[in-house]
Amino acid sequence: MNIVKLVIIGVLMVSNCIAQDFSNYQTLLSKGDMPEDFKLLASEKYKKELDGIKQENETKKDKKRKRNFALESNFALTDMMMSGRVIYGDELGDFINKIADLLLKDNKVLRKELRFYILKSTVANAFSTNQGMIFITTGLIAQVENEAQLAYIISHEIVHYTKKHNYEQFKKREAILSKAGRSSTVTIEEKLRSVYKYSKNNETEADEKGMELFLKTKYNPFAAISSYDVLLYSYLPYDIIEWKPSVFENEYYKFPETYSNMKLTEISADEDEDDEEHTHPNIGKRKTNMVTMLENEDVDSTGKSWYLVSKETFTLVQKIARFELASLYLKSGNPAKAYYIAYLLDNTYGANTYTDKIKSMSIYSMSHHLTYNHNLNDYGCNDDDYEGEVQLLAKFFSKLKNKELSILASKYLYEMSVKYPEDQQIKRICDQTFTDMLVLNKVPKSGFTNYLPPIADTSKAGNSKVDKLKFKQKDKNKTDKYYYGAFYKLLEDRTFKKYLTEMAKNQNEVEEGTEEDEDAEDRKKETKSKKQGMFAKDEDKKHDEIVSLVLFNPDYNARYNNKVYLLEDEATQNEILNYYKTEALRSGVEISIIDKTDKDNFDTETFNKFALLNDWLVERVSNDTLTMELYQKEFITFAFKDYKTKYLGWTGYKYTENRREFEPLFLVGSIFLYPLFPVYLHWQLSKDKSLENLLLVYDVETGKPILFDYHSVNKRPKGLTIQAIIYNQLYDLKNGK
Amino acid sequence: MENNKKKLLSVLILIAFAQLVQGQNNPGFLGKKIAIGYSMQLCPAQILHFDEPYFRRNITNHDFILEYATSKFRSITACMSYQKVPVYNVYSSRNEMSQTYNLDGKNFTAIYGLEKGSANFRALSFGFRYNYYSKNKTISSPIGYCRYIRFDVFKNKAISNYEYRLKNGSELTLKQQNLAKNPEIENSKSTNFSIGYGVESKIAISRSCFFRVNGEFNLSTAWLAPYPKSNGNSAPTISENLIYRGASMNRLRNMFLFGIGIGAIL
Repeated sequence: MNIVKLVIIGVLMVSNCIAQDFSNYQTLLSKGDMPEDFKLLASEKYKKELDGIKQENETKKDKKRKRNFALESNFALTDMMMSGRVIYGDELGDFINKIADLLLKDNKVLRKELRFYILKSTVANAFSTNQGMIFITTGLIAQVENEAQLAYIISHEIVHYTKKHNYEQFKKREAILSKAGRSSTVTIEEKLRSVYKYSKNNETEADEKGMELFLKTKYNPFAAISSYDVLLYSYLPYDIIEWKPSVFENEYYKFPETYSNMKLTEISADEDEDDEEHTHPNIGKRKTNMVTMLENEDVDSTGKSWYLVSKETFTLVQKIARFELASLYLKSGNPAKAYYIAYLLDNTYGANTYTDKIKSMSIYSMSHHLTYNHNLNDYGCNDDDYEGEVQLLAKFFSKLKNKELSILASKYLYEMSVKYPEDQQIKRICDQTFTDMLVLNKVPKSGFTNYLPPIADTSKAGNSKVDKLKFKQKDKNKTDKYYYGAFYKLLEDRTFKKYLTEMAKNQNEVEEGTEEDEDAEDRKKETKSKKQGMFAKDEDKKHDEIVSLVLFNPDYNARYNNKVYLLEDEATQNEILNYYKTEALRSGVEISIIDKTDKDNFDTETFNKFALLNDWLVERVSNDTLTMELYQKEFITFAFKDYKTKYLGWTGYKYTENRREFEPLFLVGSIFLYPLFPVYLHWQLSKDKSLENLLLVYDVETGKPILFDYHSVNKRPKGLTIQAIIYNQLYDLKNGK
Repeated sequence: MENNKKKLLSVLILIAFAQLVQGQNNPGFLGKKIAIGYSMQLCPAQILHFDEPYFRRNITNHDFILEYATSKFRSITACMSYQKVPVYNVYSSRNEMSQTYNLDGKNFTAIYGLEKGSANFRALSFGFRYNYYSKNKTISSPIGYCRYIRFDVFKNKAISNYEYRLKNGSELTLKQQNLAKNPEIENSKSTNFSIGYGVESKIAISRSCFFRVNGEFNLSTAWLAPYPKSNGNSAPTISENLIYRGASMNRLRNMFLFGIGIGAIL
């Protein structure tokens, strides 16, 4: 009996761990032990691969090419994996691994070689690497219709790995392009087409061999065919559900008809499009090929299934992927798409706290950006990015003027703040949106309080005098100021009336010129900053002394005569990291570096913290306004819980060194003025060097940048130079500069 | 003149004080704001003397600096330089000199011939430099590349160490010979100011040491002083020659200077 109880408790605990609370959906994070792929430095992975290459019996040229490929691919992969966007040990990854187990149940060796990871991306994609890693995006999981389609796509990727298509592609490309350089009769375009053709051949091979692998399983073979349709439309959101501006309307607040009746672009996806300059054959060809293959094999779907792992798990995993999409769009500065995904989630799974939060943040974000005169096209409202009915959403938000959108947002957010009174973030963004509306967009409070609702034509006989007069007045004021009706109903509520009056106080203060609102002041500064660049620092203002800081691994990139030396870069990057540690000790500034090279301490928990901080930084940088409340403000508290600071820093170094171009005029000048000849000679023979560095420090509580420390010197990135730069950065931090 | 000097000194002290106060909020190079350095400077302008066979080719100037970083890209420097140029066999067409003595109310003339020895020119200067560091080539003063203006006060001396032989001893009494045994050669002294412009690159080789390379151009008030002339038509005496050469040296000494050196950051 006790054992049964224990088992039940155990099962409940496990299911609790797996289950996502979708009302309080939190971004996907890694779980469990960190795989070696994440622990090793790019150079270590490269060296490991190099040992294998050395032992191969190939020509020197081939070995060299393989070395180059290993170097480039390992560095690019490590960059991607350590960006915080790739996760491991999560529910999605587990599900993919289970599918892979089924696909490769007869090939244990290959199964052992392959590692599957989830890439948090809105794009529907999957790709494999020569190193045996296969990445599946959340965007793809959100789009597929069933587990079998996903399984077919995975089998396609497995073939890319077994056939080493990536390397073959690299080899072919190099060979073809180098020939193009030598041959004058063949244009580069023609050679590129050869590269594309080769790539298309690889894709066809992966399709066919992938199908062979797929057919060995009990998955429904026709899923392979339908998966191509999924891919064809994958550039569109995961579902198409009609959206109308009426979702914001009520009896007194209605948008003019022109806001809904706009000409929309047709869906352009064409399975028979010209694929001459594409790396993949068009969907039509791929489908036909697969259909022929199935016909030749005389395959039917008897005894086959769309789900082998579990339909429930697939549904859950897909739900997670779709929920993730909404926050991914929001974090990457695309509130319009985030809003639409949340709208889809409402319609697919039912509205909840999370979708309301996403919609609130999206509308707030768009309204705030427009208040600061930012182009909403940069925030997901570019109607070229949409097709079909969904385009109305982009067109609608683009059409709204500052006042209109801020009123819409104020109304929506007030309703949300009433719905979620405990949610402090919604309260803050609601307050800010009202301030934006009343103070910055100068919408008069009286516009709302004096608003008269549209009433029926009461001039006809039988109506009272008051009705007739009201209608007459309304008719007289009938302009495009429909938006004043937004709060008509709400104004009946005393609490709202009080709230509006309270918020309008700021408006009065600004109008009277007694005291400027802080936001108005910020806006002025931002306008100035925008002219000078996003992070232009307010010279007059000193920040507080910072004695504690969380810092990302410093970035370092160097180019010598436009060549990149990845191994050297990594070594310098590690050197810089160590300098930060030693200089921090010297200067007394406590720096907690999220050190991805520290194998002993960089575990899953630290990796997740890094991912959250990185997401926060991406959202911060993607939103070109300093006053905006960030969606991830609350999540960063978790990431910061072990650090005794509220400051987050990012630093990067870029070095370029080029030979100087020969300047005959300088030479002639220096010959005439011969004492200057040595100076000329020194100048001409020396390299043109430039070392740029940037330290950005944010206060994560306010989301505002408090230090923008940029320096550029014509020096090599040698030890003392870097140390001196770091010393100065820490000095500025400590002294509040 | 004395008042002007005091005023100038007061202004310089005031500027220096203001700069020191400003320097409190400056990071310095790795936290170090003071640099001391030495450099050996060559004065190529003095090559002009090389056609004269009696000049030894020593054109080295020793330059010492004490620099204080007043801000990230500004600093002030107190500098001192010293030069000693030995001169052998100063040419005189007469190669002899005469001096008139008075013994017991009677004048007599002693004539000397040059026996051996040398003379040297010495110059000691104290100065002040204001340095502008280039933002492109400097992380933080006092290390990096800078341009500067400098002001110096020079104390110049031409000192003779020649030995002379009494040529007309047979014509003199023993007492007269004793009196005229050691002829007095007047050493010349002068003071002048200079103002200059220079560039300097200090390259850190460790957290506390640096290399120094500099080049500068100065104009001296020595150019304003009249060039000494010989008496009448006769060839100049050795003393006269020392004075002439000294004046020339003063003009050219720091006209162009190129130096390399080392230093420490404190």
